[in-house]
Amino acid sequence: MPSHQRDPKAVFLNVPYDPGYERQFVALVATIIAIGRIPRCVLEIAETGEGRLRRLLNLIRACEVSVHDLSRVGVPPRFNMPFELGLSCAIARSAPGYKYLLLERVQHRVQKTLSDLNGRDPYIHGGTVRGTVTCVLDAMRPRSGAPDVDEVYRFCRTMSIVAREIKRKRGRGTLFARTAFLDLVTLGTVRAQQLGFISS
Amino acid sequence: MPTKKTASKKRSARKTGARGSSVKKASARKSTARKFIRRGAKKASSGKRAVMVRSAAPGGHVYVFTTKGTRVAGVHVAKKATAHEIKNTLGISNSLVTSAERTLRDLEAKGRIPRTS
Repeated sequence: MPSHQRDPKAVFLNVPYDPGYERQFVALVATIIAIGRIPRCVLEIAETGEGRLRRLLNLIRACEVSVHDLSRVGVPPRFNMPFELGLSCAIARSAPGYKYLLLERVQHRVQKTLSDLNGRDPYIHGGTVRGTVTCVLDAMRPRSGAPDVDEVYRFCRTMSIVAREIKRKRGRGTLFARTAFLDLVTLGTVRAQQLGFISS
Repeated sequence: MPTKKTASKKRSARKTGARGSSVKKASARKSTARKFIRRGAKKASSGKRAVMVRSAAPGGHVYVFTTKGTRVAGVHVAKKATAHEIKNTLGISNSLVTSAERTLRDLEAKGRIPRTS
């Protein structure tokens, strides 16, 4: 599928790629798969010489929803997430039907850190796996046939064990690499199929 | 009183009305589809086609199948992605899927993750 064609099931993930966020990243990917959507992030695209910004734009345009976690506000500051949120806002202006969701760890903090978006309520996950699962289900669960929060939470716990196995097998200390991400999605998809969340 | 010329004009308008009725029928069909959605949901859809199926069981349920992109009760109804679609979108190879199945089987055998069946 060409990257500029929008896939109504694709969800773009704009999250901090650091070790402290791995558990929540696994939970995000698992929940998105469990509700029958397709997680996508910039990690999955190999560098082909067209530049990172162009790949990023093409990928955001190919998704119908984007999820932006603005919980990393420490030192050194990370500008990637707000920058990608800005790209999504611009795309949402020009492409009707495109939606973006905000995630935060602390209530009311985004009103201080990003006052330009005042009036938009972020989903607060509190930095927990269960909070992340609940936020994603609240925002994107299908009207019918959605799995229960506890079922998805159990699936996320299984996936965190699987993620550890992926890291062990790959001999790398991070999940934030192309192969590790594809492995995670593949394992998640197979498992979700086995559990009956999605069909083959 | 209409002259002869205007009367013939009116007749011709009626003739074209016959063609118009076929158009009307199509719109009537569309509104029937809308009604079907309205029965199951509170709001009307955006006008896309919907099919209503009554299950064979006594007192069976009514299922409304909508096409991708239809809105029911103001909510977008998107078909769930299948494993095949996820695989295709991300360009996941069959060997990766086989390896994933093997990994899951191993983890189940070691008792690290619960068995599915």
